[in-house]
Amino acid sequence: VVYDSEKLPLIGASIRISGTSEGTVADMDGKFSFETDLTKGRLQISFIGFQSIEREFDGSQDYTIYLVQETTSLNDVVVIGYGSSRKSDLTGSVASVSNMDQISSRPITSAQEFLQGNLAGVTVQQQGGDPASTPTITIRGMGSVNTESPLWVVDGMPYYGGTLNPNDIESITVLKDAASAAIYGAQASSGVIVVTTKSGKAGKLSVAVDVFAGVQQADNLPVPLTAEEQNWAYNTAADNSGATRDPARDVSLNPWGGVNRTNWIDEIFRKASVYNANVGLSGGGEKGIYSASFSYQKKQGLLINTSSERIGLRVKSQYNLSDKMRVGQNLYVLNEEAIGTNNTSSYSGTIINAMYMPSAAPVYDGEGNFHGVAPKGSDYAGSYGDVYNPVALLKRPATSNPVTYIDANAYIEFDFIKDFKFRSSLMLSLKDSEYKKFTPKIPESGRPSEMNYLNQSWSKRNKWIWDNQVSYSKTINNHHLDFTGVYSAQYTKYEYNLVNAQDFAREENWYHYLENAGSINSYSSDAYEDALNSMIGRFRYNYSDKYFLMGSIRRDQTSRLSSENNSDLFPSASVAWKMSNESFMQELNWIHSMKLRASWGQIGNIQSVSYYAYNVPMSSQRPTLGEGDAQKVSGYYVKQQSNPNLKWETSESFDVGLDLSLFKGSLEITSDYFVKNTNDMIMTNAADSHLGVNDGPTSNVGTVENKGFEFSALYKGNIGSLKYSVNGNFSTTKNNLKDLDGYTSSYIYHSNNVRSTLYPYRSEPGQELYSYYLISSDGIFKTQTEIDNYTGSNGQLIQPNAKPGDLKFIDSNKDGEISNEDRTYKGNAFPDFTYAFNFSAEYKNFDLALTFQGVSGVKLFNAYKFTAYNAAQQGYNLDNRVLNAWSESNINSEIPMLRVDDPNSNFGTNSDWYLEDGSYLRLKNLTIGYNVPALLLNRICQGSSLRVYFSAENLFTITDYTGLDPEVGGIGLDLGTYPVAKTYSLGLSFKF
Amino acid sequence: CSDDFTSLTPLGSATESNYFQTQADAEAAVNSMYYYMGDEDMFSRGFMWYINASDDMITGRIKAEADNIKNFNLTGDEGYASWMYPQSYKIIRRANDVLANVPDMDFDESVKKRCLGEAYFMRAFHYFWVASAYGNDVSGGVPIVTVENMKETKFQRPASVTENYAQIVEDLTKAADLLPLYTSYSSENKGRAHKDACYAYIAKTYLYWAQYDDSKWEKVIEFCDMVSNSGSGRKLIDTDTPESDFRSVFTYQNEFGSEYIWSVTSGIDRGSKLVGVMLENKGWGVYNGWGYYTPTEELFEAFEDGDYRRSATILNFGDEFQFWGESRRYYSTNSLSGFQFNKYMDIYSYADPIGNGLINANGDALYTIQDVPILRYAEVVLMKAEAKLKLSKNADTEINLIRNRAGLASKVNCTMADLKQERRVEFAGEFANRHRDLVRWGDAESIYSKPLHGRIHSDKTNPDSPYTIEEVWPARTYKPDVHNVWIIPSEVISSSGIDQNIGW
Repeated sequence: VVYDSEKLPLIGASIRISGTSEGTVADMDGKFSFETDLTKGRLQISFIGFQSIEREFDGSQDYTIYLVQETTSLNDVVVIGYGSSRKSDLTGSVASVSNMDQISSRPITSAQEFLQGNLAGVTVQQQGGDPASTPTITIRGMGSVNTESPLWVVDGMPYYGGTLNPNDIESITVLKDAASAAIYGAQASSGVIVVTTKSGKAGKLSVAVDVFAGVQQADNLPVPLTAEEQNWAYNTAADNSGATRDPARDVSLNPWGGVNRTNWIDEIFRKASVYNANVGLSGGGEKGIYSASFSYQKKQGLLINTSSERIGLRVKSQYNLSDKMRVGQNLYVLNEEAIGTNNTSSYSGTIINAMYMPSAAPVYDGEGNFHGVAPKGSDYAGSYGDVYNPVALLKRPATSNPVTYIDANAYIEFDFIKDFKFRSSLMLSLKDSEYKKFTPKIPESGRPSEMNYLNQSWSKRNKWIWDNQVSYSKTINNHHLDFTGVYSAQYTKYEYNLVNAQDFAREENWYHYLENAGSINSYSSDAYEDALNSMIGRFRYNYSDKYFLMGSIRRDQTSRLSSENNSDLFPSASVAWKMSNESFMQELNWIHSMKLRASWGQIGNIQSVSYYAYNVPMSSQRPTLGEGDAQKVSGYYVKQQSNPNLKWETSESFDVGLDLSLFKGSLEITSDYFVKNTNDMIMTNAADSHLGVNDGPTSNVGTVENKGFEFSALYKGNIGSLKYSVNGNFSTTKNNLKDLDGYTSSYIYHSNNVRSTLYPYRSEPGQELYSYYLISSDGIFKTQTEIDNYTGSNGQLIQPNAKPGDLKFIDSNKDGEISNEDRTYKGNAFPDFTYAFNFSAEYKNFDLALTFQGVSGVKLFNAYKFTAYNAAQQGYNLDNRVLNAWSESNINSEIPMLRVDDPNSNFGTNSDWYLEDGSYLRLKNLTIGYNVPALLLNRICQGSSLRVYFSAENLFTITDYTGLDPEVGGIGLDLGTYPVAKTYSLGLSFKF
Repeated sequence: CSDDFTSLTPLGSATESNYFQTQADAEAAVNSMYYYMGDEDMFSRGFMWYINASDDMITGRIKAEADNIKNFNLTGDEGYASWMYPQSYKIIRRANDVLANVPDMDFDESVKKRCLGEAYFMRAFHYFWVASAYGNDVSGGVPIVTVENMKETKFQRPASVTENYAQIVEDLTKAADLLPLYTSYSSENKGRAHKDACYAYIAKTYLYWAQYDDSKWEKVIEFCDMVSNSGSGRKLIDTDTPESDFRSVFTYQNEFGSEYIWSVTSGIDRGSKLVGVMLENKGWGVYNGWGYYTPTEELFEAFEDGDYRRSATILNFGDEFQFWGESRRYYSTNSLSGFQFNKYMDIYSYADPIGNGLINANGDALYTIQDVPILRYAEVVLMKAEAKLKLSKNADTEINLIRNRAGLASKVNCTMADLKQERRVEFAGEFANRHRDLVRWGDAESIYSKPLHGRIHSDKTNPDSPYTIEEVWPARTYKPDVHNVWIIPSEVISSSGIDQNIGW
């Protein structure tokens, strides 16, 4: 019998007689037996991930063998595309997460969050703390102006479903270079995240219960001006501009406006809770294994009435039909619902409206209705701007947004001839979304509406993927050969319908149905089909465990390009040399393993192409015509130009790496240098305005290069009974848009803007994608003399409209005036350098884990200042930092003088005054756990284990950024980000 | 695997390659040309931001971006001023699509004629606005895109805007041949392009063209007469009750009356928001007016005593008016000039205009059923008068037609000064475009170098409170060789590579 150290059977352990090919494998109970003609010899017992041992035999004998797990991870088997490999045999750049055991004890909602800071070259950016947003993962830099995401592969099949239950995950591996990812082709050019879910183990039923509960809160919240301060600010601003003071700011005329009643930021933020429960079952017998899990998570958002909720169910099993044939299935059903809020608009964003809303206004009026910017009938409502009561913004609409995913796959594996294996898998992925939002009337002043609306939409996405795989594997002496051939087809159909109805006679929940609408305001639909079929061939060869070679070729054919251009071939190759296995290295005992790798590959990318770019459907708009109440009539027009000549975008990458394992595997180091080019980048051309279409043709328009260096190190050690490990990684990325050949213009003018006034982004060859393109500012003019001395070559004033207290802008083109011609490139929001440290330790029954994560070289556009510091916008309330705005007695301020106009365009200029360093170092997680002694537990439940833990997320942050949170995400445009929560939680894991 | 698996027919809608097959296709393509008439950034605010540069009005509330437009202090990125240009070209494109495809289609000839006529008109109408706002004879016109070159990828500015004007006249001439009189349209088709609008815009195009070429004045008269004699019964609304005649022009009942030439066809779901944009900011707590564009003291003073158009155009403190079915006296805590335009207030005079289906209930969607005029017959009359004066002919008949309707006595031997006065007070707050008039008359520099005034009342909540006249807008620097056209939006420059207007 073969056991591991915990006396669990090692199914499939190999038992062989040394020097012969005779042998067998252990069965479901770890038992083995075989007959041999030899009467004497040595048995070699081995199992992947364990140290092999040898036992002598002499005639018939019984053995109970315990294999010890290897301390090094080099023999770990990592799952790569359509197969697996020993980690030490890899030729490409593949990273696996080492501290997977921590995933279930962190109060996180997704695996994406867990990956943050975990792997070099894998940049995870939280998109603020909105419950409806998921972090984005970028592997090795932005390859395109299009939003791309890595391909997720779960249990061997591409995965397009909902959030994975972190408790279901056994391992995560990331395929970073093209040669590794190439086998997944078409959707893998941004890298592949390979997830393996937990499988049952043969043996009796085992049950794991994991629960945690926690509390979240925000810190570093901005403070709005009080009512008195708001009056002061606007009176000061009017005086500074030489304008008449607004009577609304005079408490003798408008006493209501001088009384402070509400801190709106405090009204919308709360201490929020999070609960998570997970139950897993697993077990199996000789014929098959099974596992099932049930999970539930409910997380409140930091903003009132925002939340996310998730219920998931997974059933997974494998059954051996014979010793040559296996069938299996994996079913994951998930229902999730996230209710977030808009914080990307500086008109209707929730947090920004809490800043705009006057502090004099109470949340509710005397009758319990939401209060407006001024009391009913007040003559001064117009002085406070077009503002929504932010509490009403969060509480008033009745929103539901359930999304149901069903991801099911079934497979059959058949070892049909010796050394050959066949596998056929079929996956069905269904996504069903419903969205329903009822917005009642807004009677209060600010942005009133006497109309109520029901916005309801439905979408359905059905997808199937069918993979057929043949693999051949053979070892002859020192030659090991492995061949895999795959045929894969996938098909998707999508349909979306939206109805916006209005005019409901009643507003109670039970009345929110279309039948009760007075009229339909608008309706629309969207639909597409998408098909891809692919053939893949890959061979792997290794000689004597020293020289490794891998090559692959993939042919992809897509429905998203015209039939003339829709297929292409994408090759890849990689080599590795395990130097440590050379005889000349054997002397160096401290080197446990050393391997040099190089890889090159091309991947076709179809992610960024819309479904019908080659033949774009017409769009519809409904203008009004006719006498009296003009009515809508149907209208069709060409919105986007088609491009039948569109071809595949290719990402090509080159990677060299070195893997080192030192001191018997206690220190492992991996470093990589990569160059990744996106060639023929597909993007939608900005239409020449004179062509009169919204979008130009989708075209192949240029080349983007990302290069960088990645380093990670893991050290495991122990001091007496203290076991610890330290893990650190860093990576650099240098992004460069190399050319824009094929684009309509010599640069991309990005439409991302702040209230249609500031357009900070531009992409131009030689610069990073989404670079800031801004006029430099140089502090604030302190005296009129400084303004008068700031002249151009002809002696003319460069800033004739400036007064002391206004920003000084740099006339970089020396033409004597400040204009858009003075803009220069200022970097972008993507970090140049990311780093992280993990520390974990175990001492007796206690364990501790710390994760620090940081980024640097991040620039953020703090557009929040455009409205929150600016008194020339409708009379909104302001951030209390304007109390420190420039004045003659405060000439060192960095905030321009308050004014009700902006003749110097302090705020209206695309300037680097808004740009801030978004670097941060964050203690992402701290976890302290305690394992209840087995002795104690066994009295209650034999063979059980119980761990209790405390975990804190985002405990502290070091940053210079003055906005709400440096984890803005996206392209770094901060209009009042939903901050990432600080979370404290308590949890327990119970297994029996 | 077979290619069929990856060869799919696009779902959702027809594509460019299989559209334009039926009469319904052609009509829907034609309809789409009217879409931006009802766009907030075209004839609600949009072009009104440019007209706001005139001496008639100021931005009625704090708004730095709007201030900078009025002060000719622009970068090209201002959202308020960045849509008119590209939206106009969207309609030009749609017109070109109709003109390229419909002639070869086989359906009812009379409908087909109308479709083509509408396309020629709408192309010319949008060219008229975009060419006059952004083109002159120094920096050039705006690129001419027609069926002949619509498939090309680069477009150049013509050397002078007069090339645009020639193209516009050519289109309108074709359209006039193809289109019926508006009086022949059924109720639901009212608002479509028609013969008189073609003639009127030919006249106005020549009016603008004449600033570069005196020989065009004759043409102005010719086409003004074509409007008057088209057979659609053109006349001013003049029942010899001057206290209500002018006022009644701006009511929904008269929106397709004898004075209608071209308007923003509006309903409560879509149309011009100008009506609500000019309403008191927050509408005295009744309805969400936006409070932009308030009249100046200068405009108020421009009206002669006894001119009934003054009270119909401007609300002054203490003026009585109907609002939500009730009498109310005007005061405003918000208006920075102490006045409000009264021209479009009729729709708010009715009791419960929301419940009665006259205005949109949503204060963000300020639509009403009242059409906002862009070109009225009165302007045809005054264009003819201006041309006559320029040709040293007597224009008393035309000018007095306008004056008498307003309750004013006739003048004799009217001069250009009389004409300018009449154009100003007749069209204040309208899309007739006072700013463009000042520019083409060469008056902008001197007028804009003076500050603008308003009435600052001691108690802004009391209709009877005394006031002082104070400067509400400082003098501006208008450089005639630069600011006679507007800055072309940055996005247009970047997407097309055309040259920016000189000096901007």
